[in-house]
Amino acid sequence: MIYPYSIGGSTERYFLTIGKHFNRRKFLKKVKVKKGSHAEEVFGRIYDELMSETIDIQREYRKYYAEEYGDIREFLYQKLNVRQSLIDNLIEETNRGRRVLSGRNYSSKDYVISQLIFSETMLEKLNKLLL
Amino acid sequence: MKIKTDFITNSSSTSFILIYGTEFGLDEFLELVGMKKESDFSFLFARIYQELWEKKEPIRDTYDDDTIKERFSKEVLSRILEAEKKGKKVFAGTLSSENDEIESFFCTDSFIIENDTFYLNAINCIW
Repeated sequence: MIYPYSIGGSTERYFLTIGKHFNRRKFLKKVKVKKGSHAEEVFGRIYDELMSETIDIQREYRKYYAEEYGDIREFLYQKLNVRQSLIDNLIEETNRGRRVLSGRNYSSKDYVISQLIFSETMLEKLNKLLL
Repeated sequence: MKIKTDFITNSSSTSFILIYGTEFGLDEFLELVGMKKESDFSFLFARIYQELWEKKEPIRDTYDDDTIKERFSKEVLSRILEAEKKGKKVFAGTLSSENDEIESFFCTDSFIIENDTFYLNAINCIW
């Protein structure tokens, strides 16, 4: 799932939850594009944009913040200013063994792809695929 | 199939050129761009097909040789002249980024799709 959120209303960010073995090849297979095609090029860019410069939240917490914050819930709330309802969703996803990645929109500078990803219809379809 | 992609712009419109020999429908278009019809995401290319087919006009209604050379390139003009000689259909049109995100995506992206059935050039962005 992709969960868009913002900090202070300016920087657009998102959490991306994926299965442990999710990768580019599996993503493109699920999208159903043909190898070497224009569609593969477009959806390859979508995958790259989503994954670009993302941070694994659980790893980040364990490595740098475990001493400072009692648990990941506290870390998400106090350090990252994430609202409680979203924290509940993310914790539920981690309990199901999924990875939680944090990313910023437009991080790869592929502006048009980012705009497409976060359009209403596309986000809905991507979330269905990423479940 | 050859695919060329290029820089990305903040253009508000993109002129495109579409060349093909025989008419083809949406299913064939999806096949040619490499998107399986049963995909949840085929709507994206179905939409661009719809836009292209709605907005295309015979190129000679709008452009003469000099304008094609100026707005596209000498190479594109050669391709058009060759296609016309072979009796192929050559169209031009404009996509706008003022509409929804899907048209906006295809408008601000720059690409050429080329295969045995059709040639689509959407490189020319107008700022």
